[in-house]
Amino acid sequence: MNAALANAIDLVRNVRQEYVEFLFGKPNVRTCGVGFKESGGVVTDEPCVVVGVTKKVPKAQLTAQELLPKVLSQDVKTDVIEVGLIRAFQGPTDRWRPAPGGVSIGHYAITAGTLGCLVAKNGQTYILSNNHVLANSNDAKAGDAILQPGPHDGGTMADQIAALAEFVAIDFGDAPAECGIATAVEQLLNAVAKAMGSRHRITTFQEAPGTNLVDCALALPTSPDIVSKEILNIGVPKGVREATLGTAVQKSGRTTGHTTGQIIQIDLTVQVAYGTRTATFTDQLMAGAMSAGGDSGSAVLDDEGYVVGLLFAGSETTTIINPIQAVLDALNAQIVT
Amino acid sequence: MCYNELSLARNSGEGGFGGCIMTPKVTLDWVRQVKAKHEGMLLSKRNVVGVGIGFREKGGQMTDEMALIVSVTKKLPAGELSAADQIPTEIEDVPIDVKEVGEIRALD
Repeated sequence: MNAALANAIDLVRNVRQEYVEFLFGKPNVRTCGVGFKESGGVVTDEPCVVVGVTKKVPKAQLTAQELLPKVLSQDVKTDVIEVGLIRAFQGPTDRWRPAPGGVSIGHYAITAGTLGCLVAKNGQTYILSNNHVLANSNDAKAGDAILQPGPHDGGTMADQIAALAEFVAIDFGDAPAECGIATAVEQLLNAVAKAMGSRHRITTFQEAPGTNLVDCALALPTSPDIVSKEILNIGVPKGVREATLGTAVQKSGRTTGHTTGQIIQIDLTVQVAYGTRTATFTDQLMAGAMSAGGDSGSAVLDDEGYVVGLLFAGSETTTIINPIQAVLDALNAQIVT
Repeated sequence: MCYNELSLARNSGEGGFGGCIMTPKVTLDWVRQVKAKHEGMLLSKRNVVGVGIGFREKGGQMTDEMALIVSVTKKLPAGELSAADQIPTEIEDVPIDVKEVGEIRALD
């Protein structure tokens, strides 16, 4: 650095020191430093005092006192830049209050998953995520504590953010069929078939045994303002859309953060491992590699910010997603926009 | 077989047409019907964990041709599979792509 520039920077430093308190007294000012002056979008070699404001406001809306001076003492200039709200960097596995979508959450007995987004049902606001995140894969009861962050990320009972409200049970195909009427009809028809000498037997299914459409659950926040309808790095969902082959998608999750991908399969029937058990899901969406363990429960949105699905499973190369309409139908809820 | 001739071909039970210059294509509706009819058979084969509908890949490139995509935990050489576990390359005019995906598991 040449001596002239070094001297110029020293001068600006001194002037900044002289004015810093005065500048922080103006509305919206959040930062005050020394940088090169920008002129017409180009960075010049002239050092100046750079003032960061949360939001630039038209001159007309400011009083003379609120205006930031263009020039300080000794001809040192100012630059005003918009910096938004500056806060300490927080990761998705940290404790968040209010907690947005995309951060770590979990039933007290699990590891950790992701808070998807908020939904409304009967005038109340709930947290949407997976059954295996909020309801411990069916092994939970209404009222159980939901922690943010999840237990794997250090969440304890002191971090309770919600209580389990309801979940759609996952059918692992191991429960005996229990439908009295169907069984009675089956026996009757088989008796008829036997009487007629038929070798055919009638078997009844309420649905194909062991198949599922969704892995979802709702938790009721301990207070309405402890959660935020925003999703980290994405924003507030704009609504709901149906994804199809080629739809560009994004999600914000506890482990891999904000990632993007594309729907590469629809109408997917898939067998998903839950520890030692397996459950079959039909009518699912598949995207490529955009997730990892801990991202379960993430809301999946298209590239315009409409929710298209709920992420719940995957492998090294795939991500498996419940279509959002099936989730909302199963829970009789709507996405909060 | 040409796209606009498919329904005729299906109804008449004919196998194909000579001299067709259009790219063979099947409709989503037809792929759905074929999938519904045959996915149980495909899912019962060794290592198969998923059956879905997607665009066919050729030489690493995505084409605009619909196909049944069969996901397997691990691809095995044909020689290591019994005849019953072999996955056909096509069913009822619908091409089949086999994709190795590893184990698909709940992501908690």
